[in-house]
Amino acid sequence: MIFLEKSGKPAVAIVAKSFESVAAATAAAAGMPDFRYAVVPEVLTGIGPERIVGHVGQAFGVIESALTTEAAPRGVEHPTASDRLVFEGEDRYDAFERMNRHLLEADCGDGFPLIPPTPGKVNAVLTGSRRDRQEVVAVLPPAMRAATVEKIAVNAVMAGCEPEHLPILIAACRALPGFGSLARTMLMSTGPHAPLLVINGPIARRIGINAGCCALGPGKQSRHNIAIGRAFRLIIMNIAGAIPTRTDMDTIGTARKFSLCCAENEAQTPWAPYHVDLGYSPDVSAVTLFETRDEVDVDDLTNYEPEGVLDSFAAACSFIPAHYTATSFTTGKPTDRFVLFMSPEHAAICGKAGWSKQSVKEYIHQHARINARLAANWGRLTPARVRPEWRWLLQRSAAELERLMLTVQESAHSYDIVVVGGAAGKSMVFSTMCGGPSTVVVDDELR
Amino acid sequence: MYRLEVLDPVAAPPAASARPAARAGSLDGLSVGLVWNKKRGGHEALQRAGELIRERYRGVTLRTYEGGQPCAPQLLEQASRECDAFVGATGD
Repeated sequence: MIFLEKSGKPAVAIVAKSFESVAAATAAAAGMPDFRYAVVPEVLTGIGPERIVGHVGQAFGVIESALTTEAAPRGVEHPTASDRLVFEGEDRYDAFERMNRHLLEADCGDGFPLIPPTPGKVNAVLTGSRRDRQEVVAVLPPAMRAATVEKIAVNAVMAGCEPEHLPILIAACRALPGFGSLARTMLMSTGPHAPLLVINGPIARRIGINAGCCALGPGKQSRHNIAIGRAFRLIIMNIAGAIPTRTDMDTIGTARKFSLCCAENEAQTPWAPYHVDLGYSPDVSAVTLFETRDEVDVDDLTNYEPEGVLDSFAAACSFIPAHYTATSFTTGKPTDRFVLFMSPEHAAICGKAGWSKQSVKEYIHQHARINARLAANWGRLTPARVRPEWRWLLQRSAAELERLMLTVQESAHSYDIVVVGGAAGKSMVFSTMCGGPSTVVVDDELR
Repeated sequence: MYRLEVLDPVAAPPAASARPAARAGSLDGLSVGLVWNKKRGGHEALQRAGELIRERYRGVTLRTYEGGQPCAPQLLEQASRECDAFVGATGD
């Protein structure tokens, strides 16, 4: 709509009250804070035509006015973005608590205590990069704010990061725009989309980023993982501008949003590391940003042959209602994917039997299926979303659809494999729906 | 008394770079585009908005555009060529 307004045509968007802050933030990010919208009291997706008609009737005066009359500049509530903040307390701890209360109230915190980003600590973290502190390494959606090296470092300090983490965070920021417009979906959607950072290459080994037991869990073995993942969450809030309940409208939320980072277990994979498959040298370090919508445990301590293990993966993946049959969230190519975190034990079973990574993907793709009744149920609610070549599904009876099994993804290319974890036949799959992944080389060595 | 000075973690927002288009004071005789992203509920909202525009203004032509999330640039360019004003609905 803002594109249309920018083309010189009056435009107005009908927006639910609970999404008004999203509309305002979107307009500001697009450089047009005075874009007009008409607020209705409820989200329209689930309330039925009668109430929708009533709400639009009540909002029509605003719609009409927005299209026909000029309005004074609305003025935008901007974050302070000052250089320095000062907190005075009776002692060091009182000042620390005051800072934390302020930053949490200002929507700058994740809810856990924040390390004070003092000038000294920020300067120390900045020694982890050769880049100038004012260099803009990326412009981050949804707010389209500039991620300078310094702002990244400030958030890194708050999360407990060390200088050696900074190049990874810079690469992660550079990876985010790689999701294109679906970065907004990842960060603002009503769904539980959480970014996942996977680190490949020598920097992971040098720092000690955990790729083994409890790689995504709490504890000292994952302290680097936790700090980097947490810093990226703070960057998403404070630089990218995805603020819970204001612009991040996640219906329930997920603990995956606090921190989600690990390395690939390159020492125990039978295949080439993930980034090498993309064409990078094993000597290059890279950060891959995945989106995750959920996580499912793949518990298979029973099978010793690839087919059995991979059937367990297929079973774990067989819950996505074949979203490729619809168009609404696509950009001309499938945006649903699976990230398979394969434990070294499961990977070894496949590798020793001579299965390539591609053959593993093909097998899982062919066996991860859902019956068409469930897939069609998703599309039937709004048939206009169903792709023309799949609309025949809407004409079939429930009994016919029940017998028809569809693959959950459109092709084997929608599966990514990363070897992660300790010694057990337990793997994990994450489904995604925002496209990606996005891989960026860590091009910045420590000073 | 202890004084704790820290750097602000928040990045500055982008500067406003565009102002809204000029308004004509009326929709009489204009083509109005109704832009839906295919999210449930938005279609009904736009239908009602179109009905009310037709009741209130003379000689209005309504055109409907069904985009995705995001809306394809080609569709937006087509809509911009074909209409004089727009109402959009996303369902939320």
